[in-house]
Amino acid sequence: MKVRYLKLTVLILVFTLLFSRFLMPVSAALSEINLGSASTFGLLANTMTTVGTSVYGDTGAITQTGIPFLTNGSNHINDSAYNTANSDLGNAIINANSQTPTIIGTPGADLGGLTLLPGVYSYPGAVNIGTDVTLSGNDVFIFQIEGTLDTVANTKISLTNGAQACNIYWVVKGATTLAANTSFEGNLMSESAAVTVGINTTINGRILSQNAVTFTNPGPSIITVPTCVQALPTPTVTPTVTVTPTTSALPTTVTPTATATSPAVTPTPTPTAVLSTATPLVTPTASAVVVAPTGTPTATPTATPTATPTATPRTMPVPTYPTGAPVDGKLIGESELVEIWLLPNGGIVIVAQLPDNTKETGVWSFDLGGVVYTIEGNRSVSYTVLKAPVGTYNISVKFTPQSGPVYSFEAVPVTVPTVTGGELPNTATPWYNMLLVGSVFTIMGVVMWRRKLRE
Amino acid sequence: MNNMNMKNKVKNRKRVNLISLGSLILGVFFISWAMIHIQKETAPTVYTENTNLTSNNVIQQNAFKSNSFVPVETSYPISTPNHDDILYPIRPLEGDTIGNLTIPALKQIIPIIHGTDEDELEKGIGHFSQSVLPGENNNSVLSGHRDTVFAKLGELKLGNTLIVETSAGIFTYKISAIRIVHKEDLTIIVPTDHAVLTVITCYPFHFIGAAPDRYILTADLI
Repeated sequence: MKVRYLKLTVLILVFTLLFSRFLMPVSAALSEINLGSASTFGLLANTMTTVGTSVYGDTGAITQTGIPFLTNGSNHINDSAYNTANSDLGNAIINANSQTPTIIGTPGADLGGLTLLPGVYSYPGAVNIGTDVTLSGNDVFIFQIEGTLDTVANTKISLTNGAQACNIYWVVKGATTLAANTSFEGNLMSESAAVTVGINTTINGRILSQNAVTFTNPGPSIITVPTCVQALPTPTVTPTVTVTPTTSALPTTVTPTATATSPAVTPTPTPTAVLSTATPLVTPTASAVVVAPTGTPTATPTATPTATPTATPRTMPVPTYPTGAPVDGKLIGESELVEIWLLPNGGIVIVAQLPDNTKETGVWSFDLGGVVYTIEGNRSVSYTVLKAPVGTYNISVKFTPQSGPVYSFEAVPVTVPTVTGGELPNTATPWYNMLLVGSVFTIMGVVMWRRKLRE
Repeated sequence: MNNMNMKNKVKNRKRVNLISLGSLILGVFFISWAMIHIQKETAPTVYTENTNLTSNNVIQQNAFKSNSFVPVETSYPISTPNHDDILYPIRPLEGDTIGNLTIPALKQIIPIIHGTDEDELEKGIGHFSQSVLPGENNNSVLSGHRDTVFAKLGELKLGNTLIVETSAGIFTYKISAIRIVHKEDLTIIVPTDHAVLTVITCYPFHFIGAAPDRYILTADLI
């Protein structure tokens, strides 16, 4: 009888497992959203109001108030290019909303403080970004938001582990508000409600709307159309250390190992920027030095903006700098295009940008006294090292674009002080604890033996 | 009935015998094991009569001479140090041996390892990684086990010297303060306005169990 029931149970179990395999929904493969002709636009809107707005890419609208400063792009007012882009945007929004969600969120969700992996996130209501959020992974992120999308001032969206702005899509049905000093990543696709952009906001992506887009007075804000980096190697979690042979005459007994144990927040890909002191550097007047890949020193190239002349001549608005300076940081080192900030918790923030209007995508690398960190990025970067080496040393910054010469910045000497209120290290060995345990056992044994003797 | 009771009593007695004997054996075993490790020679001393302990201090441009321990607030002035102040252009990683500590009064020379995890403390003195390296102009913190490298630390007195040798040179410190604090004291590892060496170990030195306090030596660079 028991064996019969056992056989029946096994049979039911196997059947259920087999059947459920067919019932389980086939997960839709994540695919990039084709923006069509809208992909060249950094800013697209039905009604556009700009003030102090710089766009690296095209802009287009039916009606426009204020004229954005353009680099590598054209302004299209109610022409065929705009109409085609607007139509392609509509198709892209439909396509994005048709993707099968992999994560269902809750209305009023706050993404602040989270680290999100690639996938299709569906929110049946509003979404807030109350503090910094991290998107991690070299794949597509789609956020389907039925309600509003709001960021809090000074919020930053960070990309780690190969995540790229070109693969991030925020598809919003309700109104969108990017508060002041927001650092936004990805393509904001607004279906039917207004987008408001606060002052000092940087968008590494696009704002594509079928409604109004308004930039808050007095600006400035910067939109940069991202380029997907395909040729870079697969990111790995463990950063590798490239030890720079020192040119100093000091004898050294320090032998760093090949793997850094540095707990950097942003895992990095294998560095492609090799810091070779053998490469001779030419130092022109600018602080960013260009090094040709073959090692032949060259003069600094001059970046020539190719903006289409606008109807009203105007001067280029000065972008806010540094774009990623921490609110509670203390400046401990700087050069013309690099700033180093010390955080209260002992971390440091490195803020750097390429000279002039250089528009590049590539890999930033930071050498902190021989410990190297890298991150993919474009013309500006704000990189946090949680546990920076303590003491006095140089921080060297380099940018290796996808193609073209490497940018080497002047080394910035910094002094990171001993931490305040550090916990005293645990210097206990287990032996005195073992002595205690042994003593307890011995006393127990003696007491029980004496009791037995009395009996 | 009496026979049943007798049998039970015998069984219980045997059980108690086993437990008490087992406890005794275990207790003796643990005590022996612990004592062997505690007594084992763990502070490598390469100190002979011919050991040259003459200190050739590296001249630091911004070195302060002070006999007092003055912690500074975190609101230090922003200054860009000269490149000459960079004693360690390549920073060590956890587990790297960064130098030696010589204690002439105890006739000991002990290696210093970067990091204060158990892996590092097993090999010698650990350098607290969130403090500056020896010789740099701030508070450099070293720590070690009370039953190994710092077993004799209690014998040191004010005025005794501690000599640290690293890739950046040889730095001589003079002990200016000795304190005993609770193990959770957060006022020891703080920045200072001059080069200081702080040495930490557990206290009391022979406390059985986890020691509740820490023995702190503070020494100024001379």
